[in-house]
Amino acid sequence: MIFDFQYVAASLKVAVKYIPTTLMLSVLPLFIGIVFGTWIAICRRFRIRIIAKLADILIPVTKGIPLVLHLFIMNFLILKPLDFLSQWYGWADALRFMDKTYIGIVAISIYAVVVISETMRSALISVDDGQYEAGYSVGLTRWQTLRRVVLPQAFPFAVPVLCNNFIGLIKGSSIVYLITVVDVMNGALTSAQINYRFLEAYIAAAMIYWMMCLTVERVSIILEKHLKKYQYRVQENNLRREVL
Amino acid sequence: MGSLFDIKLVFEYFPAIISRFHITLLIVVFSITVGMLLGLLIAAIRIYKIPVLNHIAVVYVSFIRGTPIIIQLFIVYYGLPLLLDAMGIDINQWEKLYFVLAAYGFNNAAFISEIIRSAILSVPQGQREAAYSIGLSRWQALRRVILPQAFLIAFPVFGTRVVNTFESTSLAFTLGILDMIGQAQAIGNRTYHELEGYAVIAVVFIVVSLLLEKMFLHAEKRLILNRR
Amino acid sequence: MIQLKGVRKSFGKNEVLKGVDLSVKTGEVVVVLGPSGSGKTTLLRCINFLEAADDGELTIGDTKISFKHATSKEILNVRRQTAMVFQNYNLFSNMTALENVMEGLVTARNVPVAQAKEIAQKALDKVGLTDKYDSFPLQLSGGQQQRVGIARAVALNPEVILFDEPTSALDPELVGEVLAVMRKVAQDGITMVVVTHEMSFANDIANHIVFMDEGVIVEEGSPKEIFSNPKEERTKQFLERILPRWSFSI
Ligand SMILES: Nc1ncnc2c1ncn2[C@@H]1O[C@H](COP(=O)(O)OP(=O)(O)OP(=O)(O)O)[C@@H](O)[C@H]1O
Ligand SMILES: [Mg+2]
Repeated sequence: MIFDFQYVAASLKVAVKYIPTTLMLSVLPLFIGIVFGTWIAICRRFRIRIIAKLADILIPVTKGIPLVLHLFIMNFLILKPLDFLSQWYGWADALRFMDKTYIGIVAISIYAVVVISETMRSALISVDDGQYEAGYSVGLTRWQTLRRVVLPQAFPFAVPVLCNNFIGLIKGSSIVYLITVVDVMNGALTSAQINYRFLEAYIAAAMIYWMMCLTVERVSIILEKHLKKYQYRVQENNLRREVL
Repeated sequence: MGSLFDIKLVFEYFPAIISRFHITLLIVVFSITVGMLLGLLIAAIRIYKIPVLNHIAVVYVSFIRGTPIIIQLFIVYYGLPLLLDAMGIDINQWEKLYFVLAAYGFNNAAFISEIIRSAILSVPQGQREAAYSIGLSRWQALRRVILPQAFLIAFPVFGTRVVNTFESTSLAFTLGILDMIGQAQAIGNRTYHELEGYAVIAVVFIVVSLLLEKMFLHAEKRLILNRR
Repeated sequence: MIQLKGVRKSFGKNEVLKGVDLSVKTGEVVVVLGPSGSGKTTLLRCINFLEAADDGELTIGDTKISFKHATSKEILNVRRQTAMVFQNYNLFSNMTALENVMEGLVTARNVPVAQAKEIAQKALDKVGLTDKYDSFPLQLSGGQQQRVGIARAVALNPEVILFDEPTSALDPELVGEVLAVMRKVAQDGITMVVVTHEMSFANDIANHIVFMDEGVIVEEGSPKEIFSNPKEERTKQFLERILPRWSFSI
């Protein structure tokens, strides 16, 4: 069989329609990951009783499980009970054959929370202890110090890493085709099921993922430059400072 | 359908699943080795900005980093025979495992080249100048000053790469390789007890990746101590 | 007025404060001297609960708090009546000089923004930084940063300001400007507890000098008593070691 670019184009056309699904499978987990991941990182930073201890154990352990296993386990845990219930209940049967995107979102979100909690942890650690102490010394509460002083300094540090995490989620989301969700990957493959042009289909899918990741990378660079510009300005002035 | 999760089966499946661990190990060791060799080459091409090759390297690294490994697996599987066929080499009889090894090797080459490149570039310019100032040649400066420092910078990132590779081998089964996950699925298809198999694999992955992390942390400490 | 009674603090097995009693009258400037590692920093940090002391009592204004059983509400209350000037400045690096000074007023004490701004500007004017309102910490020299640090403390109008070696991270030529600002603050009648190694400065501004060694207060008294007529052997040794250097630098 000879490589034929026509089939790539055909696959591309179909796959592009599923970009929203892939985005849903990565943006939603990103958002959930940032919210809960930051929260967990904060609890660990402040050593908040049980949560911090629990996270110390659960985060490294969960991080060791590959995403695809998260997906399979979640798929199994959600579908098998439905299988069972569907013998008696109509709604369970209906749920069973529903679009499984939500299972993907749940599995990828768990993964995202774990990964992003580590990102935020190192971002929080990057803020000097003195900043916390200065906050306390002027009478801010722990929460106020966090919100007004620490997080505004930690987030710029975290942005490039978060963008990397996001790229990881976009790429990682492609495995949902294994549980029959139709995303960019699966969309590209639909025509290949008929004409066996698999190479062309995979290349089409690769193109879309590549473009999406490049876009995120661009945004990351722009954001970083924005943050750097502020630092450069500071450093320029810094150079002059001892001459004063 | 019986119970959802039978702990007895976890122990029952354990030997069958762990017996496929060597496949995972093979993929990791092979792809990291190949990745280091190819990666060094790519890093050199990029650092010395060798014309044409540099551009190809940039695109290659960007492509590998911007696409899912699972797609790379299939592109190698379907594409490599076509490519080599055009050059008169017939690999249609290759075992699937070889394609998996090739795909992970290509993947790691890109990532490792970036690790090497950024480590070398992050050694301060002053170090190079200081080396020249005491009369070292370009090659001497690289070997005696730049590379030892870059090595220390790259080492922990390299450790993370090994752990990541280990985790990403969990996708090799999609090509039909009978690794741990392939085995668990085979068992699941027979017995409708997938979950126990996944639990075994999860435990293996958790234990091994924690061990790997510990090992690299330990090695890193030793490296830093030995330097003094 | 603040009063400390029987303050104890250990780091693991290392007992750093072994029962310190200290009382500071309103408007008084107390200078704490002592060799490195004697526990001066730890003492200051215990006063505003940046370090949790193991035992002892703190009286500030008319509230009495036991270190052992302090609630987070009491801790916050103490912190709002004290302020601290740090050795390494610790300005909020995400805020301008003005915002640094306003932060404690607006967020911790709910002072309206307009009013806080006015207070903050006045405080910065006082430390001679009228033209630096909108500079970020990294755009300022060390001496300027420390002056913002002092303005940040002064603006809160606390019962006491704690200074922990405020000039020891500064280049020698910048020390003078910070000491001058501190003199001004002292003249305004603000209660201060100062840890410093600047002996002539201590001699000038202190109403009361405390000499600490190995976690206890060895000797205290007026500057005259301590500098010209120390009673304890340890004080004498410390001053002998440090004073020759000091007299040269005059
Ligand atoms: N966070 C900490 N953990 C463990 N030990 C500490 C800690 N902070 C201080 N110490 C110990 O407490 C002792 C007193 O330290 P402190 O900083 O109070 O001394 P100091 O009088 O301020 O000294 P210097 O003049 O050098 O600043 C030292 O032996 C120090 O090692
Ligand atoms: Mg100190």
